[in-house]
Amino acid sequence: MVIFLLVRLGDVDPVSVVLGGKQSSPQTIENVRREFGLDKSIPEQYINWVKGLLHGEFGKSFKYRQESGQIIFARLPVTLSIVTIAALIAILLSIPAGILMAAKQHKWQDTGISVVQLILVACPPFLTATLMVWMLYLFSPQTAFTGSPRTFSELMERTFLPGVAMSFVMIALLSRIMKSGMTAELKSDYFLAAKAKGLSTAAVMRRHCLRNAIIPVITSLGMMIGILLVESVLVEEVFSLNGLGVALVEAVGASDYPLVQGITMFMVFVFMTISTLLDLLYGVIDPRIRKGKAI
Amino acid sequence: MSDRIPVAPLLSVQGLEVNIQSPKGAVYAVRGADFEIRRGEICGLVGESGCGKTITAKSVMRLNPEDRVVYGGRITYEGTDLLALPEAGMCKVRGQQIAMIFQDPLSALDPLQRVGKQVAEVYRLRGLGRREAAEKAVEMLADVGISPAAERARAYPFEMSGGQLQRVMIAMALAAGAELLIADEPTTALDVTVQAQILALIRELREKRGTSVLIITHDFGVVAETCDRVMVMYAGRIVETGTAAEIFHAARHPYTRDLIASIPQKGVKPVAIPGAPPDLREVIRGCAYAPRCCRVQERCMHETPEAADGAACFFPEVRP
Repeated sequence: MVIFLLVRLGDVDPVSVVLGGKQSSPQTIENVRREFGLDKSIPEQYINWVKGLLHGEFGKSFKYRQESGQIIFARLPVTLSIVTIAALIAILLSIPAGILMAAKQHKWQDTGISVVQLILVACPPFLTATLMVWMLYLFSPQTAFTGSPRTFSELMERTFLPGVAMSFVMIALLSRIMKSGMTAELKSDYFLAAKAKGLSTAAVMRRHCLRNAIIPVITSLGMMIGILLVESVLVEEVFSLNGLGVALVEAVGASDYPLVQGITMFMVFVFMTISTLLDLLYGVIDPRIRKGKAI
Repeated sequence: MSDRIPVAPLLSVQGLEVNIQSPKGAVYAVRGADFEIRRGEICGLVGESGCGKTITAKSVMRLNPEDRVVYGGRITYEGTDLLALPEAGMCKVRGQQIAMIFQDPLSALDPLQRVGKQVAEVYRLRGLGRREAAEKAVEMLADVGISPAAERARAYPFEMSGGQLQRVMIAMALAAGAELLIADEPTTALDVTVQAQILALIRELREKRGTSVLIITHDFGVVAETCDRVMVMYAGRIVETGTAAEIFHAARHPYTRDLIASIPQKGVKPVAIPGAPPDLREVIRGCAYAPRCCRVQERCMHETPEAADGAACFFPEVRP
């Protein structure tokens, strides 16, 4: 609803978008209005749009005269791949880094990673991405990294660097959360009790602390995936990739309401699905949540 | 018990010193504690909060944060100097020879793991298979009075009561066949009826398995109910040792006498000890209790009394 109304606040006439600002006869204009359902009142348009959503239709794009869904799915692999690569890199690096920092607190490993964290957190994706493109230009100008990928390996090749660029801030934040979680677990009573059983420190961390410490990481991961979706706009732009983010920016620029609505709805849907999955994951990890007991 | 032929003690602590390093300076938490625990004996370690009881117990298990702690003296368990043992060797002592239970059993168990699995982990550590370890764990839980054990083994810690959890802790501690159980305030977090049950369980273990127990507490009720021998700790030193009866009725160290006088009793007004325990960050000259002692004399202020006939005092109460 909010998306629908916000998009309609602009004062650009949709018909001029469809027709590309050419001189047109009243008849053509009327046809276009009918084709896109613009002859109906705004509440009716809203109801039609929601009906369409329920059938998996996001609305017909003014500019492309195509179902938004088709455009979204054509553009989706790039964005999905960038976000997944960024999230995977961040998870795979930040969890071990956080554990190491907690285990070697105040030692050189901890200090060293802290410095790296500080540098990474100061690397916003658009900056990193720009620097990366520049480096590629300097050192490996033959690398193809723009345009629409056709095969899976091409997709990986072209989205890997953007993914890395986006993962930097996330690595810094997640490893910090992992570290503080782990440090707290290492101070807990059950850590001592498990050591008193005869387990080595490493075994206690692996078998008991890890699961406990990872819960806050999952919480923030959910939020960060939302941020990644937004940031992908910038990074796709810098790497000239045809992703959803770029499509969204273009659609906004062209006042292509149905496409803007469609992409936004789709991102909201993806974000909600991921949040729900993560919530379910909580239950798997923590029996107190599964069994409905407040912590 | 005292009329038995003297045998080598199970655990002997000599001149134990524990300094905890912190950015604000060192804390001298334990300052030359001497004591021993004999086989099959339940021994109490009492004292005010912050006198070094728990640190002493954790030192025996070497569970203090080792990068910030400096030890002095000797802790000998069956001829092995535990303070000289590397961490890997200590892992074999923990659980298999000396086990420990804690004040708050809920926080001492991993909240995300079924209790049966946590007990079974001890057996797994000794090389048993998954299924066998699980069966043994259920047997052990039944042994400490959890029923129906097979069903309760599948419960998570948050689904059990404090008393049940402390039983789980005891099962976990004894699963590896430890001969010495250190119980750090095992009943403080439990309500009174449950307290009595847990203490009865500890006594029963001594009878059935011959486990020696070191109970750390500030509750003289626990001492009276359970202990054969009592050690009184003050400012990181053992100031008096004696049988429970001696400590209660014929204490010789003024601190012990004051401590017992401060227990609330029916019909008797408890007497608070004046002053506060010394700051453990400072070097103490003379007897640590001297500033609060009613029998203090000139000598107490600059000489540290050694333990003699049970009490570390220059002017102990004379037994009738």
